Amino acid sequence: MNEIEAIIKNFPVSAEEVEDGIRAYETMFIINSSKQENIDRALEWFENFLNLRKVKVEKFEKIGLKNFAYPIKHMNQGYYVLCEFWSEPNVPADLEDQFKLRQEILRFLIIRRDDKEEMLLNPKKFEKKLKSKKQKNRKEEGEE
Amino acid sequence: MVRKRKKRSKVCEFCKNGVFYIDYKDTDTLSKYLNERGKIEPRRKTGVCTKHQRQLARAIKRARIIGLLPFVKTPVIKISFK
Repeated sequence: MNEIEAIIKNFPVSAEEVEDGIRAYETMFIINSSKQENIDRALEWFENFLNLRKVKVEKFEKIGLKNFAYPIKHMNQGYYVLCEFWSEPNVPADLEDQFKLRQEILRFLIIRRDDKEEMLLNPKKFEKKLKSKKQKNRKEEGEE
Repeated sequence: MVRKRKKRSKVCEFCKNGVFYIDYKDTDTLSKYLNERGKIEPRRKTGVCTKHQRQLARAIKRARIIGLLPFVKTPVIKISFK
């Protein structure tokens, strides 16, 4: 089994579902860590949201406390959460609205991962790229 | 007579390693392409190909929004008092 097949195996959706309109997204948000209850409340809400909208979660990671590169709302650290999911296009729009309403969330980022979709739809393209790159690298090593 | 300096051909690091997607969370690699003020380095200095430079710039901007990389950084100036 090659590398790309191994990556595709981890995806919770099939290529047919992507053709029907399911898309890959990724979100990262920062929770105000000044109170522990803030973190608990936000995490509970987020997990509820995922269950309610029947989102297919690929990866859910609580990164934890992390220092910022610059102060955000006069704070120097926050609780980071990362979630990679597959859903219909209206879900990230709703998620954005809810993020804006929640006071305990300092900042958020929602992005589309179209590279994953393409990998599912035509994996051969990526395999070809990988092969040609490996051959090139070998040639260069041989020359040196 | 002015001697022409031989140009060393730079190879895009991302092409070499077969990178399909530049991740905004990977701050260690992203910070290699920032100067001491936190600005994105031009392609002519780093040797990244056009395609990957576009992806790289997007990833750096995303990392800045979420607070993983700084928008501006003040370089450390060493002053010696004698």
